[in-house]
Amino acid sequence: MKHSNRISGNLASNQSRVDENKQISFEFNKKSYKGLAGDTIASALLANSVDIVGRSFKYGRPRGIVTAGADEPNGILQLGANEASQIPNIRATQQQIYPGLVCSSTNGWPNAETDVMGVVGKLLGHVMPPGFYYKTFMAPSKLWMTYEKMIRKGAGLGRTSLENDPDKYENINQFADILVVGAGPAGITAALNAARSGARVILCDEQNEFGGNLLSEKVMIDGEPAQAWIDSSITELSETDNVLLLKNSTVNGYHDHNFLTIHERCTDHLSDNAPAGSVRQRMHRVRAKQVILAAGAHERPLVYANNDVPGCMLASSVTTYINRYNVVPGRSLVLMTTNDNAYQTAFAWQKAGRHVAAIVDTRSSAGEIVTQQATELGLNVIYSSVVTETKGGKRVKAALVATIDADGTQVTSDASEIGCDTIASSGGWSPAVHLSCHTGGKPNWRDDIQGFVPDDFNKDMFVTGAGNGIYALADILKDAAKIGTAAVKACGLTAKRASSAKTDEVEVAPSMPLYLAPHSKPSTRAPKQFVDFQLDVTAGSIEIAVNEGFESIEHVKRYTALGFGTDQGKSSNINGIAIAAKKMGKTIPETGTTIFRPNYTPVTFGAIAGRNVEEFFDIERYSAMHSWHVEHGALFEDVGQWKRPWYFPKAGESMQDTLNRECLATRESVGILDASTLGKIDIQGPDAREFLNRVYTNAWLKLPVGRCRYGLMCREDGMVFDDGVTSCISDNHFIMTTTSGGAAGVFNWLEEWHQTEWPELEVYFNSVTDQWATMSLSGPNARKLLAEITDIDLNPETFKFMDLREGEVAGVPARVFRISFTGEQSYEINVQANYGLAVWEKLFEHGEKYNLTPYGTETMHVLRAEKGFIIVGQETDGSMMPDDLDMGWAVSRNKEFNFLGQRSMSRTDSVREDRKQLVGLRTKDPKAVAPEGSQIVFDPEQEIPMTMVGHVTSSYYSACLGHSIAMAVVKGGLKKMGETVFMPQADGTNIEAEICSPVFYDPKGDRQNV
Amino acid sequence: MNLHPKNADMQAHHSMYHVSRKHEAGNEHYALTEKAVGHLIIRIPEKNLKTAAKAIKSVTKLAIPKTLEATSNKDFSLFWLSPDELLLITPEKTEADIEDKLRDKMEGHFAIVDVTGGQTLLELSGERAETILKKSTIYDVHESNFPIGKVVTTKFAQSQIIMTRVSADGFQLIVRRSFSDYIWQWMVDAGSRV
Repeated sequence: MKHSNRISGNLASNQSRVDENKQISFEFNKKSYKGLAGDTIASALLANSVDIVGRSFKYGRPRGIVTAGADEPNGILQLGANEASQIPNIRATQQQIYPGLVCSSTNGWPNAETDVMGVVGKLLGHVMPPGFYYKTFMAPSKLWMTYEKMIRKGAGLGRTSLENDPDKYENINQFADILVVGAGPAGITAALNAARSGARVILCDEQNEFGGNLLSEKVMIDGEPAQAWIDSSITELSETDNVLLLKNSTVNGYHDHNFLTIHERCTDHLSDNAPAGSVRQRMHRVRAKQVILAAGAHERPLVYANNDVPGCMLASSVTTYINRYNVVPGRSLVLMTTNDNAYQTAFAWQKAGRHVAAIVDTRSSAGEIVTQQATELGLNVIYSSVVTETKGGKRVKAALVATIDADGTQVTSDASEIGCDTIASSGGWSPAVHLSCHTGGKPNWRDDIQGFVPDDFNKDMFVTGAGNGIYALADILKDAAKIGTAAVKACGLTAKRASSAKTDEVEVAPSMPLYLAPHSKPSTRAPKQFVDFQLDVTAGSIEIAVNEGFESIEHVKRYTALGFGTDQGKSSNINGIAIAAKKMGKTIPETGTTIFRPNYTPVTFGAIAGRNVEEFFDIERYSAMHSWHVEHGALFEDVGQWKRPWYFPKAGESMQDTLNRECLATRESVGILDASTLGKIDIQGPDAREFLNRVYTNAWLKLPVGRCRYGLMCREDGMVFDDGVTSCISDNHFIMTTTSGGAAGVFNWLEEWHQTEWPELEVYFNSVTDQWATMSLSGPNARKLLAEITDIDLNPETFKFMDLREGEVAGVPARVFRISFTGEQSYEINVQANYGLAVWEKLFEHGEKYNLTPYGTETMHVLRAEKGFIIVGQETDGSMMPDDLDMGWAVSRNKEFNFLGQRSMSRTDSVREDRKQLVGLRTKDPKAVAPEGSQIVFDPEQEIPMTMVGHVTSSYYSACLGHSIAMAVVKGGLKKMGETVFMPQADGTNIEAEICSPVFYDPKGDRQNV
Repeated sequence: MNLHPKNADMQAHHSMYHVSRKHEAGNEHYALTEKAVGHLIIRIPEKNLKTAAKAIKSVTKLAIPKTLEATSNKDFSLFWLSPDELLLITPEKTEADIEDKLRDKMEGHFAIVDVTGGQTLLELSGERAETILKKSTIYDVHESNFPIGKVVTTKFAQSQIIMTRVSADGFQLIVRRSFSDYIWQWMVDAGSRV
């Protein structure tokens, strides 16, 4: 394809950064184009004379590239060659092209070139006045869904991928003395001064090369083209210790305490997906002692009628395309400017061999230097005038130019037409204050530069360069050097003398404060004068908002959607504020700005999530026997972060088959459970007993050495929050067990009470959960099996239920507890975790003849429910007191020191008779297993809403008993034994059940005591 | 209580035995290995610190480390963990003996807890080691802030870790057993790229 807008040979820029010898093919809107290495999508499209890159959000008007940077409102593309690599919100002006790049317009359906949406857009425009969303939300609200679909279809705001992203993203933590944001002349100079003083420095820039605006402007530094200075400075920095240089890296967020996030696009300029072994994007999480903002400024477009026709561009971006990319985006230029600086655009255009139709200067005269240059080049300069309106549809055809009065509020002549295909405009520059506002800073207006600059809200932040309203290069270099050394001192380091490169001082004439070029008709009647291109907000709609009574700029913003787009109104904010201010008769500082929030430019979710995805989404904690469980086909259940065996299915078994087999094997012979995940807290100290006495509801002072006791723990409100067995190893040494999920919470609870309330108690807590591998043998043959491999005397007369013994199991030193969660003869074997697997395997070697059966949490649940043992968090929900659980036996009310929760237990509400109380349920149909969570009613015939009196907390089929069993909480249930309740189901059926004791199996407890 | 079997044939499986080994650790840029040692947590209230220091000195020849520091010699390392908490790393299988000796010599209120099975010591070294840590922890591991001999307990990926620098590009990390698989795999992943 012909590069019709690409210049070469004598006309080419001597500072271009594209490589003429490296052609790159890419696809835009299903058409193939060729660009050059170094091109952005925008420069390559302009080189190929592509005028339209999308359709506008509301009106469906054709739109073209306006800027050459992060402020681009129109060139917002969908990127990705395959479904998995789709990314929305890519700015054509910032994305480098690479071989095989595929992109398309996000706004425009069925495509950007044809006018279908234009017609619909005109229609939509009429039904979407300013405040459309608010008016629509108000009434009729049901219509909103209809509008919304229509708007989305029309606007096409881009989409995410429907497939998993195959790329890897990373987070990395960085620390710096000084973070320099932006590597233009200011940032580089500041970084050089900081680095030379030995500070740890990070210098980052969103562009693919360092140099900032120097890449676009023709300037000399130290007597050479600026690129030479950029190269030598970057080389020096890269060779200095403790300097990190990041390009393609945007500082997106400035958070509290000088924590900033940098979004680095590592491979986005290379290929659709990251090359093997590399990360696509990296989020640098930076903590900097000092931040230097050298973020530059955004040029403001002037607002005039039909200023959105493709071919209307920012003056500086036209310069950038010519000087940096060798692309002249048109044939014939009209430049409208309020300042001297923009004259460079016309000069560059002319030197590139294209026609400059006119320079329209809003002022009555320009500075000497540019005036002289314009004269030398033979350019036609029209003073005291504006472009009032553009002619043309899909491309500018002409500019209407009229004279204006001195303060730029009215046209003073009829408009004359000047033929052209490009209108470049410059209304001056707005410092990029965005980052300084993220933590709450409110920028200050400066009349002398007609812009907002950062305030001093962030205490450890400096600002320099154009970002602080300093525009003359000579001044920028001097100021940045000073700021660099000041930041070094602020870090408490010794700063070397500030030094900066030299450049010529340039005299400029003052610029004119003008935002909206007047038109012969008022804004509400004139052709649309766009302020925010991305959201189609016009000067007229801002004026309507003010007319309708919106006085706060924040309200105007929300009413009109000004600055709501993905560009956050970078090019539109100041113009919008100025127009609103003028309409309200206020000054700009009186009107104030809207708030800028992170992120500066859109960030992918991938970069935010980093590697915390897939296998690293959450921690998986494994017990010492985990590999055995995997090898033996266990299915796993998540308990907190633990992976616990859920059940061990054999080939062909249903889940219920497995549970039946595991339960029966345990009740008839012997089963084994990996109980390692139970929280274990080692408690040492002379006051350990007293401490236990205060945190548990029952008595601990007399627990003998070698004995274990079950305890309930309550919060101050008297509600049960954990339970477990604590054993006395010696008089001042105990081992507490907690629920698997509650371990960390209990540990914190103990520490909190010890540290804040009872520091006088001499006691230490240490988590030993991971130290011990715990295996629980249960069943009538448990003793026989254990006896084969232990030297501990298992005689039940001396090693009784709730006793603890130390000895060897399978040759490994062990603590063995006779405690049971199944109601069977049980031995809980604890060995140092490194030997857990070996002992476990030894048990199976000896266990074969007893049909030793491993079981998981599900069978454990059934076995304990058969015995009516509660699980905290299943039978309790933070509102159950010990008496509600019929566990008053575990509460000792006569302790000298009130235990935690004791006082709450005598509140009126705590002793109500109709509190929900834990009971058992026996279904009338023995095979019916009521779903857990089923609501319970007394009267099944009652009209809806029925009176709900409780719910099912646990419900299983018991193979040992041959019928279903359930535990439930029922209002006043303990006094309703034998009564009938009903559980209405979603399908309209009712499960009928009788209230009974929750202890279904071996109510006297003979089996666990044998 | 000695928790090691007399019969040395009884296989000990340290934490890393259970690493699901989706990735092999180490490449030309870094090395990651597990070290079999004994781990004792020692808790001492301030008022008993003097006598405890004496006892520790006589058993291990080590002084009590200053805040956020470690002391070490050929056999032992002593890490400061919190104002009343130390971690003593002992040669493999000697921790019970050391505990007994310390208990003999220490006076008043204190606690010693054997956590040899509950945590493990990893050694991370190589030119990429510091980068791996930067991808994992929010602590500033630059040598100016984290010099040799400094010890910190900090967040590590979504878990936590005790770490110390032992050389310019060498670190020791103490990891809880049940989290070790996650941490190991995280580091191997982080180490697979620049």
